[in-house]
Amino acid sequence: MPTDHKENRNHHKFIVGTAAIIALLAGMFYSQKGQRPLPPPELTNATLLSPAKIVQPAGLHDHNKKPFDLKAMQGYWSFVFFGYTNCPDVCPATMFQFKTLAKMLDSYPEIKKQTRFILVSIDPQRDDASHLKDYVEYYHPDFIGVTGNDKDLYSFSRQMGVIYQRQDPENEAEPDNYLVDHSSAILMLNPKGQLQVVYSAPHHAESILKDYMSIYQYAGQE
Amino acid sequence: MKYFLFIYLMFSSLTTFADADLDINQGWIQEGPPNARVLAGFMVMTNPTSTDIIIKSATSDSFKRIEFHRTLHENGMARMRQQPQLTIKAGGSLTLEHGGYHLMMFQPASRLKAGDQVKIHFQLSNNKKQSVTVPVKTPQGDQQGHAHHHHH
Repeated sequence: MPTDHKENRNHHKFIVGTAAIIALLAGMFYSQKGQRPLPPPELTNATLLSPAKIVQPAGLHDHNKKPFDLKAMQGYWSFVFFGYTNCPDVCPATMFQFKTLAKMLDSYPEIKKQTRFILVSIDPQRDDASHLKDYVEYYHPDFIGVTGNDKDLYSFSRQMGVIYQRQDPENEAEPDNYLVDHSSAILMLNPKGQLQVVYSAPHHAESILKDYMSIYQYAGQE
Repeated sequence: MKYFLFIYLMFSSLTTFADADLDINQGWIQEGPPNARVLAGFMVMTNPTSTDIIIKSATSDSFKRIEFHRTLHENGMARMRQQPQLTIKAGGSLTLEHGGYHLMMFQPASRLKAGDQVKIHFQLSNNKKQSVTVPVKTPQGDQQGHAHHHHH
């Protein structure tokens, strides 16, 4: 009998010890992520990256030729799409979804103030800053165009999880007539300038807005 | 008899010609930025005949060149590929739409704005021709079916 009692006590010690370790690990886990154990939002077409991914843009500039660096990426929730202005189908469709989203956000001025829309042109040969400026401002005067040289664009796109590939010109006599394959996802940077959300195609302003609102509120609870 | 044959031939050729016609509906070109070098054209082409119809090429005075393209979404990538021709199956239809087949229209002769009309000529198989006039539009309330349909 006394042996049983002792075994029981040891058993208790083991349970208490294990519980303490789990609690400690959980505490470390949450403090490391800087988050309280809130349930993540239910999203329709978006993937929330947790923790957000640190990205370091270098050498890029916006459509006014101002540097587009980490500092420029901070302070806003930024929708980012990688495309090019000679793209007749996917890019205008996505820019139009951006335009629709911006219009929908007029009903939420507090959120709109903290939201930006950025087109990164991965075709610097044909899209210089002034061409990009006219292009993005057609969709919305506040939209931002970003580009840079091939090397810096490649580095930024890889950090953002984006792939693109320039195709050979269809006709050798027209070397400026080529297509560029590119990722169709819309990315979102958080106000720290970190990659936080991936919105998968097909893009519809309504579902993007719904997901963004959920993420915005979730982030605001931290 | 000669006369009768003439009437018959004329009538049969008319019938053949009518048979070759595609029904082209819901055509539009998406308005682009003022400096857009390419625009996309969309429409629904229906072939009511019992023979496949192939569109070999398209031209318009409003553009330097028109190509047929298809957007493919694969593994998170958007890829566009030129199509040598468009085939509309007998009794079937082909929809040119965002994210699928479309007309890729190069270098507008002048800035095209919503409300403008563009005439497009199609060269069909067997040397037949067909033309269609489509409006330039912004997509508002057109494809997406948004709750608010106001225009500015």
